[in-house]
Amino acid sequence: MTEATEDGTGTYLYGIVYADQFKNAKEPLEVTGVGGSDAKVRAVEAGDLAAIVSDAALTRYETNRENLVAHETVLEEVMKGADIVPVAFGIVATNDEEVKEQLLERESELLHQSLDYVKGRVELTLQVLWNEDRLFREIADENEEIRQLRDAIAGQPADAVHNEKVQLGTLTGQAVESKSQAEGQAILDALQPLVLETTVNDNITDTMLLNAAFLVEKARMSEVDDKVNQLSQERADRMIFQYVGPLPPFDFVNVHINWQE
Amino acid sequence: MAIQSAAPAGGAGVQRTSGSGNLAELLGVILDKGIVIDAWARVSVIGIEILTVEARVVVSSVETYLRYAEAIGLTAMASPPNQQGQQTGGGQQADGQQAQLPAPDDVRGYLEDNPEGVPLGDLQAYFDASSNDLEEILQTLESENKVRQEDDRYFPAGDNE
Repeated sequence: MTEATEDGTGTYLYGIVYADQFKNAKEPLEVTGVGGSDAKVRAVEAGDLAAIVSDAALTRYETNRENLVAHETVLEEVMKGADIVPVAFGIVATNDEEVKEQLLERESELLHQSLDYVKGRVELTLQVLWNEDRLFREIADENEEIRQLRDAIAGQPADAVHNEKVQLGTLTGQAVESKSQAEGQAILDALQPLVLETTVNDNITDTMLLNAAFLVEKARMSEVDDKVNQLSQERADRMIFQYVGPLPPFDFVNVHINWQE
Repeated sequence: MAIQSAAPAGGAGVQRTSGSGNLAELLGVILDKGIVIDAWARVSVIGIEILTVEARVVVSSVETYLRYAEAIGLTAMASPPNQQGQQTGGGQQADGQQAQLPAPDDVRGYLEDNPEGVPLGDLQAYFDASSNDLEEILQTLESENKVRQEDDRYFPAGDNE
């Protein structure tokens, strides 16, 4: 039942939509899917659901720029006309039948729930990073103990003050953490009234102070834009804001399908 | 430590950018999120790219602490903004350097730490001392053959002569 087709081509999945919403988009989409120029993006339908797919080799897909961007681009193109429940990168069924029967029909209830949850909603992400020079100057200004230890160490040969340096670094690290935590929370508090849901992810670097994803009503996107803008301007010399979206709501659809074969 | 350029010129605010433009963003977002179907998963993770993300995760280690110590050490070079007005009465000692001259050994020690040579301006910034004071100290050290000057930079002397 799950035999590969002769030439090892499968059905690569991008996301799930309501079929009538996808008909708003031009079909086939004018965008190339993962796997190159043959990968025309199209829909597999079952009932009122549609899976956005393309033909793709039954191989492993590397997490390289080309593939990741192709996957995301397909989703963003579909999002222009439809609310989409995104599928993670690199999910390839053996063929269209499998998608229809094992995913759309068998998991119909789950998919309907997810679709209703994301209806009219998008994801926006915000990463905020310290301007490092400012961060450490602020820490020095705000911490007498750190200043004194810093001054005591200054100009001494490195090996003579190794332990003191580690202690200074530890204190500084604690200060970085607590400042980041406080400032990150202040930004979240300011945005909280404007968003439906917030997911806070781990900071990726030690001078990142916030790595958050927001589920937002499409109609309120520009309010969020304005607020993020304002927060960024208030902090212009101290922090760098990286604000991305609209994204398919990856952080707000956590569906892990694990069939016992 | 990541090198960040300063924030955009004041008042510019921030533009929302699309997801497809940002690879690092995508790595964090579209792997293992959304609908994941184990039986159909065909992802080949490139080692280097995972390193790019994971190697920058905060790790508590001595190395990290030493990097922080270096970064804080650099703040001694910028003039601390709260030094002005520290001389208002009251019994409390103003902290940090007021008009204390560095000891000549401190100056020599600093030059030894920076064997590529240090211009006077950097010494001024580092020790927060006037050029006159520093030049006096440097002259003394030069006369003792502990410091030499070359092309506007000062070097430790006496080791290899």
